[in-house]
Amino acid sequence: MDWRKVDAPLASALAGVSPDEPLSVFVQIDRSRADVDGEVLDRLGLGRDAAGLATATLLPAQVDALTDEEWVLHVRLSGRLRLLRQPGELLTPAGEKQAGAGDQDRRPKQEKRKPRPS
Amino acid sequence: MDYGKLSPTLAAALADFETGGRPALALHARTLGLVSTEVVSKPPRIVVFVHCDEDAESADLAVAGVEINQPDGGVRTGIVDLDALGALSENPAVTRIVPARRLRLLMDVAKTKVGVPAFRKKTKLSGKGVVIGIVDTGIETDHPAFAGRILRVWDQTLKGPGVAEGGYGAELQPPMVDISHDTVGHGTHVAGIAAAEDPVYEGVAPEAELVIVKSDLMTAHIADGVRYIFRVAASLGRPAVVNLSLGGHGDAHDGTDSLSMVIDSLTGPGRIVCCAAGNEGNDNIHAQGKVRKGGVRNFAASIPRPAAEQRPWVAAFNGWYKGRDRMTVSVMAPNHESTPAQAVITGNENPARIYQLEMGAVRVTTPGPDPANGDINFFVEIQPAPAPAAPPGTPPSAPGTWRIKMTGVKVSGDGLVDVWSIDERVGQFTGIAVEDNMKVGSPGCCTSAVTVASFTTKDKWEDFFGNPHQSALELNTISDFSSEGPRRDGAKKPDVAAPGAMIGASLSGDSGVGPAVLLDQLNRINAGTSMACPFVAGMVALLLERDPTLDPKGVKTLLRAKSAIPRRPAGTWDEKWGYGLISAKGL
Repeated sequence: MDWRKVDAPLASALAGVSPDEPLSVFVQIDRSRADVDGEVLDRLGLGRDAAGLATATLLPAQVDALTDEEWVLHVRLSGRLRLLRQPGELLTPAGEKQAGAGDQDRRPKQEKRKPRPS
Repeated sequence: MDYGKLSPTLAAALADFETGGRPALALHARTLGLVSTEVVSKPPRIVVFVHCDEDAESADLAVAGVEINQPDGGVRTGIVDLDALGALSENPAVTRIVPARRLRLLMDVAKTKVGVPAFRKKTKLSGKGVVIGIVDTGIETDHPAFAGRILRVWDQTLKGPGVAEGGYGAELQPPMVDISHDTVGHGTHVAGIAAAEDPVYEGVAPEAELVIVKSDLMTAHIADGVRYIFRVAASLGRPAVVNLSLGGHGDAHDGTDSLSMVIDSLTGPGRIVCCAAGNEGNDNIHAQGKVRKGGVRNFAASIPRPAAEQRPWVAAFNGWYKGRDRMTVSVMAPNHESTPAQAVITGNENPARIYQLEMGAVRVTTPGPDPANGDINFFVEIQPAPAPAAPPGTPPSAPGTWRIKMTGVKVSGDGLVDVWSIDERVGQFTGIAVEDNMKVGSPGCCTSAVTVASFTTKDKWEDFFGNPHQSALELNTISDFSSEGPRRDGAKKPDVAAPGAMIGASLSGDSGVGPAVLLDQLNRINAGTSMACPFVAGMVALLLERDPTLDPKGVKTLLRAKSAIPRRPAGTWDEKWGYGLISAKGL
């Protein structure tokens, strides 16, 4: 493993992950190099992207091998983003249970979607 | 009369009618679907929802004075003479009678506030011929607001052969798009704000077509989704705007994270991405301090301890300083036990180190300079040990104060250090290092993206059942929850603000929802920069319909020129407002 090519979140993840646990990553590839190995790209499911930033889901051993390739510049862990709605607690309905994201389904039971009632 | 089957508002209206006659209905007629209240020759009638057995015969329900619109279904609509309510309520197949309500036009409030209706009327623009891409939790594909306009769904969560951008998930085209469901409801609501066709809660660009990516929200898969949308749009020969109502703080906050770089590489003429600014305006997720050579700076964070029976959690912190400097990182627990000072680890070894302290486990990762920006990134993860078991009734233990201690080894500049809490629910900063800025994360920091803050256009509403509600937000100003910029490198983010609270739009029938946010059977209310972002995406769709060659710079120039912060000079940028509330007037 060439740790210089691994970002902090990925290094942290690799310190605690089991060998058979796949990691979603971005791989920065130097496309200008003649020795980019198309077979390795195909085997690892790394797309051919003009900007050189490919995505893949790799096992730790595959990350290890990839960082040893000269044409791989950097491997970064893919993080998980969050939905940017307000949590329901910030809504203050008058006189009843607060509600919002993640509430239990208390919606009136309805039939399959039909056009809005007139 | 079975009063137990009448909603409270209907029972109240009926009681007033029985005691006060037609004049007593005047007040109710303002809010309920009452008709013929002033025509003496006709009985007063009311438009209702009738909750009944799925298989109840329509003829059995439609007794004298009752008209039912649908032949089947558990909730049907109809119109009922007030005098006939008793008979209807006593029908054993009927479980509930709820009056239809006269709803206020919440999206119209938002759209009118920024001049969208007048703009659309003047220009005849509707988003026709433009693709709006939504990378989110999916969409309710059979929602009538999107009928016939969902071109593709790439459901990344389904098993399938994937698409050219990634060999996972399943690509669906009509009519197979119905296989995919939005069980969260976020994506459906977002799509509705941008593009719903609805008589009340119409979207900004109601004739735009939709390409949907239902994502697991991993940044790599979001990047794949953006690529996919632009490819599909290009194959159809259409311009496209992609909406990303998502965010996080695991990035450098300067637009050099991978997702932002992918977006920058994909956008261009006819290819625009809009991003939500974030909802951390009220959260202490950012700390900043200057570290001198040989000096020390503490970044204190409050981290709750899980109870003995709870699953453990990890509070993660993402820190950055200039690549020319060198500092050590240590972590001090609430009991003052500390990890050793850890320098940057650049050799051929994993730069992550794990330390077991009495009050929890700590992992500190200190690699060399990040190749994207040359700066040093350090990553600190703290897993507090569970609190000791306590007798029932004992209050939960107070959060502990952990300190990330930075020591300057080699500092040639100002020694500025910025640290973000990845998840404000399990870690917020306290003390003097807290900075109420730079809280726009990724992909909001993406250079080419249009990054959108939230403005509050509505603070009160009535739910489907007639109950009034009020948000804690101040009306007609920037939403307090909206995240502040700028970027860590000083670049101006967010770009503009748009209506983001409280916004009524499409409801996914496959999602759970509380009664307080339910507006009718097809729409719900919600708030967040998630809601402001598709508002701008819809406006961008209108602009792309007019000029399909517009690029990100052109779009931002147009939007900024017509945006303004109240009582501030034109062109003023503010870390919370960006260039201010957008306006369609004169676009």
